[in-house]
Amino acid sequence: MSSPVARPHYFTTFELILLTLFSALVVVDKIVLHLPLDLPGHSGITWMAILVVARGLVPKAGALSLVGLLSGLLAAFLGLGDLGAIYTVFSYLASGVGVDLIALFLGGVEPIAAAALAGIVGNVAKMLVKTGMAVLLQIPAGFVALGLLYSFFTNTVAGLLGGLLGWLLLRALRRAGFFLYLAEKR
Amino acid sequence: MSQKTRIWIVVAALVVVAAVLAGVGFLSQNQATQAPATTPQPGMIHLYVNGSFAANLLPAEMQKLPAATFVDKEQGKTQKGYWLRDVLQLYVKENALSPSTQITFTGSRQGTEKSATVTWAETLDPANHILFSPSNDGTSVKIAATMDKLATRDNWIQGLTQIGVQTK
Repeated sequence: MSSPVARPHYFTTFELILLTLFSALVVVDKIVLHLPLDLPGHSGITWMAILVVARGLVPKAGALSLVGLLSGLLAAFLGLGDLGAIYTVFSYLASGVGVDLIALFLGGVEPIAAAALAGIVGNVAKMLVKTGMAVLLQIPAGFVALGLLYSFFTNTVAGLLGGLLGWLLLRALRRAGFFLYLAEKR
Repeated sequence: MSQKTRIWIVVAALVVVAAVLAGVGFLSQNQATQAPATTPQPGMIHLYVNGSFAANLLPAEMQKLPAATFVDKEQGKTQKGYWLRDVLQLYVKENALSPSTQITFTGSRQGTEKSATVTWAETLDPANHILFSPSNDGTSVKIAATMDKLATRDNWIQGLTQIGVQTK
């Protein structure tokens, strides 16, 4: 009689723990870090850096969508965001899905261009979801019309900087031997 | 497909998104300007005078006003926007406003409605710094001030949806 073979899970427990910690870090970043920049989407500088590092450490499709969903739920429970829980969850999820899709399309975030584009798309995806929901929910957002392109531009620049920062952090972690340490843990 | 081609595809997609946003922004601005002034339009801040609808607050008209700033007491940050007195005078004749006129702001944040009332005299007082302040990303407007009842983020009216003016 053959014993049933357990199907391996897509994410290992260690990876899930890592992704959960990154989700918490995204929320902590949003609460604690306030850059003295008066520009739409500037929080993407640190936010996208965290997402790019997370994707570099757990290089599996769907990893960042999971981080987006978890951080969105966490943020919603903590009352972050101005326009309600659904709005918060979707905007956080959009960032994760955006970075995930770009990493999937470009084969990871190791090359500097891929990391930069992942940051840009993640931050822009968040902005698009926020704007789209404001329109759908008919939130008084008449001022959106004035700044859509400006907001896109600042979100792009912040995402680009975030992607580059994430790439630099990944490189520093690789040089410090963190990837070898992770390989042992997996 | 080479990595370089993929990168260019993503860049091209971003350029398309930027072009679409520019188009949507232009159309929305036109639509807002041409919206009927006699009925409340969805997605805009509504002004009521003595219970009757008076106007949809138009972003294009706000831009004609002088920019205003103050440093908030709570976190020492600079708040930007337009003085509320200037915004109201765009839609309500000054002779219709007396010092005791009540101005009520209603806002919605996290699905909860909140409102606050000030008088026209308080609005005119420069020490109160009552500001009509669009958010950085332009998706909402808040009423912030330095006067005690509107001095903290908890007291600010965020996600402004309506302004009511009661002259009688």
